[in-house]
Amino acid sequence: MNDWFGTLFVLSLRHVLGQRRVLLVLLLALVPIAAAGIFFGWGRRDPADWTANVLGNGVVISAVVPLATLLLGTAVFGSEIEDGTLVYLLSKPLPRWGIVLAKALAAFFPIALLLSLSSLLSGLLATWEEPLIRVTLALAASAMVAAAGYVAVFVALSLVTSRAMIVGLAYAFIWEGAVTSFLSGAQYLSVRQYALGVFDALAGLPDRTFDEALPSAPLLAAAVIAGALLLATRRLERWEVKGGE
Amino acid sequence: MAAEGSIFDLGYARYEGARLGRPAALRALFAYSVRAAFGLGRGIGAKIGPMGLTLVVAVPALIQIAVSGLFRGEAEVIRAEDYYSYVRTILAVFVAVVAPDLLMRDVRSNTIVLYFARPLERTDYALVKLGTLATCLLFLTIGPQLLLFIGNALASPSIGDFLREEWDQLFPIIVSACVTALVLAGVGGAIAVQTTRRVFAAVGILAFFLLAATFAVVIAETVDAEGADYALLASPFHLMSGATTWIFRAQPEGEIARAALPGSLYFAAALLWAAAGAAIVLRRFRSLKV
Amino acid sequence: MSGASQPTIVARNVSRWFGNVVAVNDVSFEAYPGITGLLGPNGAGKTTLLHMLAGFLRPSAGTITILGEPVWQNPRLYRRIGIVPERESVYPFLTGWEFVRASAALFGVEDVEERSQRAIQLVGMEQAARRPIGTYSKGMRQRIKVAAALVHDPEVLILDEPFNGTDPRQRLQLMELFRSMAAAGRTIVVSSHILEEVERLADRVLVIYAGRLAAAGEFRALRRMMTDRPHTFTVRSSDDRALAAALILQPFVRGVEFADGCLEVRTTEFGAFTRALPRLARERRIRLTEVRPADETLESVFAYLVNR
Repeated sequence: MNDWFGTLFVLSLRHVLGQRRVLLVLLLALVPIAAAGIFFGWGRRDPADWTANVLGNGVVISAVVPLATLLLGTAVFGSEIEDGTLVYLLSKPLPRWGIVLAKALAAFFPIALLLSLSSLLSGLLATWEEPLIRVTLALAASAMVAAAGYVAVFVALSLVTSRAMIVGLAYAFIWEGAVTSFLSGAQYLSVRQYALGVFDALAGLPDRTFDEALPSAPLLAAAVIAGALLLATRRLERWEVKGGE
Repeated sequence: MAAEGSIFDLGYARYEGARLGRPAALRALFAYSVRAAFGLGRGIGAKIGPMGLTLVVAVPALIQIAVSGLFRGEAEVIRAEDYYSYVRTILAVFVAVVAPDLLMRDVRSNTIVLYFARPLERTDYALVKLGTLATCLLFLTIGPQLLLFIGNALASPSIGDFLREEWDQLFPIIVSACVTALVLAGVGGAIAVQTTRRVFAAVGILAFFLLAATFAVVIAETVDAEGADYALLASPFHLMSGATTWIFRAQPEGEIARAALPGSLYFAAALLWAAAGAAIVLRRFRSLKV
Repeated sequence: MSGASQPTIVARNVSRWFGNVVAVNDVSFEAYPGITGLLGPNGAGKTTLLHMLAGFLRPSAGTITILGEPVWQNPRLYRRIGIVPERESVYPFLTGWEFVRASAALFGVEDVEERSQRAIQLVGMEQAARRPIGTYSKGMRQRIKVAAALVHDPEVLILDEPFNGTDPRQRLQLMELFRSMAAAGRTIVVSSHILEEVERLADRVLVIYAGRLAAAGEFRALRRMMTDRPHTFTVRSSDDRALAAALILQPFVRGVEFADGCLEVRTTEFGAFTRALPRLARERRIRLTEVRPADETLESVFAYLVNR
């Protein structure tokens, strides 16, 4: 049987990696390392506390991951729609869920790779004296969760609205940033909170150091990812090309 | 057949009226840009972003008014000097959404050639666009503050007393609003003109504001060295906070309190950054190849 | 041409509107194996109609079936259909080979390499296929798109303005390709706003104007159907004046004009004229050396329809 998914995935990956925005993602991935380097050189705070709150919550999960996934997640479909190359894929006998999944993975993989490396390196750097392996691994894992969640949401957004980038910005920085601190219920609809919840559960830090527990965070994340990809599939199945004459 | 030709009079009339010249062009560009920034004259999609964000920025003011109304002016949940610390991310998002389109849309579609072929100078265009950005931000910085002020006045037991006591707040309110708007416009504009692609500009602007703030805190708080505190001057968010606090002669909080830099320094640095950003924008438009 | 009894493509009362603008207005037609040309000026609704045929746009009303199946939301049907859209739909970073091979793989063909080879040969791009598509001229892009669209040997091929940007030689090559595919039983729909292209290529023509189907059929037949417009013939004979005198007496002759050494005869009845002319000539011992319909081109058909 013929490997259409592999071909599609490789094609999408090449498309993503060929764009200049990947450089920005690379730069973003260096930010946690730079921060950890500063802490390594001059930091006087408790390493576990710093890694969890400043590096994990502040830099990686709340800033670097949303920005990187916004760049790539909206591009996988967004640039195809803009350039008119989406019809190339639509005119093939491919199941639409396959197209969505291949593209989401093509956005996820580079980010996952770069950010897991970045998290591991920065976590180790920050806790150099007594490497907190568990906390570092928890950071990498929760960064993955955040990346997966954001990619799914942004891919769906790029198929639902033409202003996906703005909506994505509003979601990641207004909804997740400001609103969740006002409305406690909103945290159940926040990818950032899921990731922090996963981190809380895995890192095993005492509550006075870090407390962002969210019951069933992995489940919620999985539900949101599945829901977003399903929505994207549905939109793609009904996709209409509106050409001018 | 002999070569013959005829030119027909189609009634083409020359324009003999007044030519308004450069000042009118500047005014027209300004008015048009402000309207376009808020999506007026375009579809609803172009309005939602800027107007929605304007609404969100006003929310703390509305909350304070509601609370104040309930407690007859006795409660002060949101204070004027803290206002921007609540909404600064939203203001940054506003710049990220509005600045790229405002400054670079004409460049991207190459219609800027049409502007340069008019009595407008290149620097005129750049200044007007920057001015538009600053003006829009001014709506967002002054508007909610005035709303807060008036709301508190109306909610207080005696409006006369309130005005007598609080009128001297108006000066800091206006100045801090201006400084905040200028910093946001200058820095946001400088980043926006680096690329014609909207996504890059927006993400770049937001990334810069957020990450500069994060890094500034990281350096100022964790690094024990002499001069580490000055890292705070590299973060537009902190410049806004510090300058506002200084203008209101209020008590600094958080990392700004810990840094113990003179408040006037934030103010001066804020203006410097704004000017530097504007210079970058001007230079970009001057050297633009069309 | 249409020896088959079953039409490949069936459109029934297809309409599409965007808000208040009706782009396609109650269009019905059938397409058979062979080449069907879709002709109309820009803005007439050709691209909208083609998008609907291709399953990229949902009709606001009406149905479109290809090979017996509805084309909307039916990705599996693409195994048997090839589509060449007008807009750029190629990845500039791929080489021609990679593009066609990927196409083949995504269509689910078994022997990707062989088929890609054949497809690229058919469009004459063997040399250029090694370069990235980003370096191609517009004509080359068109051809590589065609190659990618027929690599899986589809029964139906839908092309939107395929000759855009091609030079005359490339155009001839492509036309030759389409004709041979049509001869092999494929159904090809080609749209264009250029009369010569459709005239030379299509067996049947669908004329679209302002969203409506103004005419459908073989263009000469269409011409004959419009009996209220006179046909013009050019006739050369051994005695033009005498022939003219004889002709002018006939009721179906609208006018006779003397042109450069020949007669131009305007008649309202094609059949009657063609039967009468030889008879009249023989009766008066006039020898006919040339009888030619003067305006059988699609141009006159089209101009007539448009000005109606």
